[in-house]
Amino acid sequence: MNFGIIAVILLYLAGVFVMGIVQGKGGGKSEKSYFTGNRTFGAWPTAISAGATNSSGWVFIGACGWSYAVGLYSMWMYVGFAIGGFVNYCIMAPYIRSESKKYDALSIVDLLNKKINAVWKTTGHAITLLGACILVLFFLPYMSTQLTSAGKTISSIVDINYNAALVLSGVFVIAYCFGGGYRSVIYTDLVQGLIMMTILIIAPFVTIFFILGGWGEFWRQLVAIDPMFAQYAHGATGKAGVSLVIGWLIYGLVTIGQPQVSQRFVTAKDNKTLRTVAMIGVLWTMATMIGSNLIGLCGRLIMPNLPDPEYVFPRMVAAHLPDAAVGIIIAAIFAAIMSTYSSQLMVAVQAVVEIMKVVNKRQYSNTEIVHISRIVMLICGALSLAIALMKIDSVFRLVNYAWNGVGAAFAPLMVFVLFFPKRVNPQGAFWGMLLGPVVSTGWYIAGYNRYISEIVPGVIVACCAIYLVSKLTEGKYAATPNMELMSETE
Amino acid sequence: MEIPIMVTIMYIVMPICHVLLFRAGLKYIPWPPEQDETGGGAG
Repeated sequence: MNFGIIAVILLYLAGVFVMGIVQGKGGGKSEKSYFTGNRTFGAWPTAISAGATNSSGWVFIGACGWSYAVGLYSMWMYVGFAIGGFVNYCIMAPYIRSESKKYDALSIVDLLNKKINAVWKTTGHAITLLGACILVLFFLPYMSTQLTSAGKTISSIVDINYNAALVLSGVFVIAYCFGGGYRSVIYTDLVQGLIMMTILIIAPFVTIFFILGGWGEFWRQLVAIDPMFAQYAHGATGKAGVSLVIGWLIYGLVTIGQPQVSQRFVTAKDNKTLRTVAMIGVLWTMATMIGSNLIGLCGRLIMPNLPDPEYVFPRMVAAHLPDAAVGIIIAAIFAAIMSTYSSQLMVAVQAVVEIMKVVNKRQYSNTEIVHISRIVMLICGALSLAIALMKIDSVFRLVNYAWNGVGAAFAPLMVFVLFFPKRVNPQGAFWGMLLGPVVSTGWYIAGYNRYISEIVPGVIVACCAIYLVSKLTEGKYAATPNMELMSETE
Repeated sequence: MEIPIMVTIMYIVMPICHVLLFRAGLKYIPWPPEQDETGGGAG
């Protein structure tokens, strides 16, 4: 490996490290500033950080690999994310922000618990506990996929063992997260997200128009390899095609239930900021979805016989680009991985702190919160590294599993709590939040996801459980719903 | 050989629809009023 590549990567990593520490300075003065940065973030940091957190190393590794395997069909993800983004940015975001401010909630789980308690005049913590446990349970494998992406990238460029590459990436990323709180995560996300976006736009453009002979020639060659690459349902017809498409649409739609993304709306400065965030979000989704799709397809033409499609982007880069460009692109992949990993780690840490507060029945001082957070960070980081070392074969599949589990737990409940609070009482919320991910995971383990994605039954069961259990247990609550609180949204 | 029609739809029409959808959403969907620091509606 050329020293030029190493120099560019090291320079980049050092820059991000320093930036994280500088931005994180003073971030631990209080729990509020550590976890929300005092809600002062403008449109670009909010939008790019939400996008980078959402997209992750998965875009460069999993999504490119999937496009390599299935062709145009992978663009259904774009449709799903466009619709999911619309609901998230144009409908959910302003309510998440205003309600979290109203109830002084620091996180999505905190918001759900506080609003349900306020509406039903209760004081329980079951939603906080269950929500936090679900987050930790699904985020650990989710975080491990980020490290797997890093391991695959490094081991395909540098001649070192995959496990060694994993451990090196893990140690660096955990050390980087250790440096600062939410503020440093947001600002490093901004820089890293912009690099990702640039690469995702430039890489396919240059490859198609300067290496593969133009847009028409590109598609002519692809269809010559396999006409399936230009088919919208990858050969599936009738009910099979429809169920595949519905699965992807709901997959995109449950973006609304991803707390690591919604947290960005909690911390945005004002509504005007959120409107700009929505339009930047459109650009982001376009760049990541179309970019990763075209990169995968370019890879199919340039390297047609890869045993593991998820190596397509790093291998293509290493084989065909000059050293400096390789260094920059590897840095961009690392950027994607670090931005998601650090955001997920923050959400997981916040969840564990919530659990500790409920279990120990006490409030912690600000210094204690910061110290506990750092210890939890180390433990969660080490656990995710251990899962990654268990040889995950597909980043794409594991990310889907975690995404669907978290989505089934939070997306239906958030819609009920924000827009139909009269229809969801504490018990309904608890069972909906529990049964959604249980059904989604069971469906996945049973292998039924080859007929329809596990997110579909997960969301349906969660919605039914929330509504029916709330209806059946209505009489158990002495107080009727607090109508004054509900009048704003229902 | 002509580029398949689905390709044109996926890569050109979809992004345009995406932008139009968001612009319409931001224009016509009502948002809650801004909250002030004490939690009351600022209107």
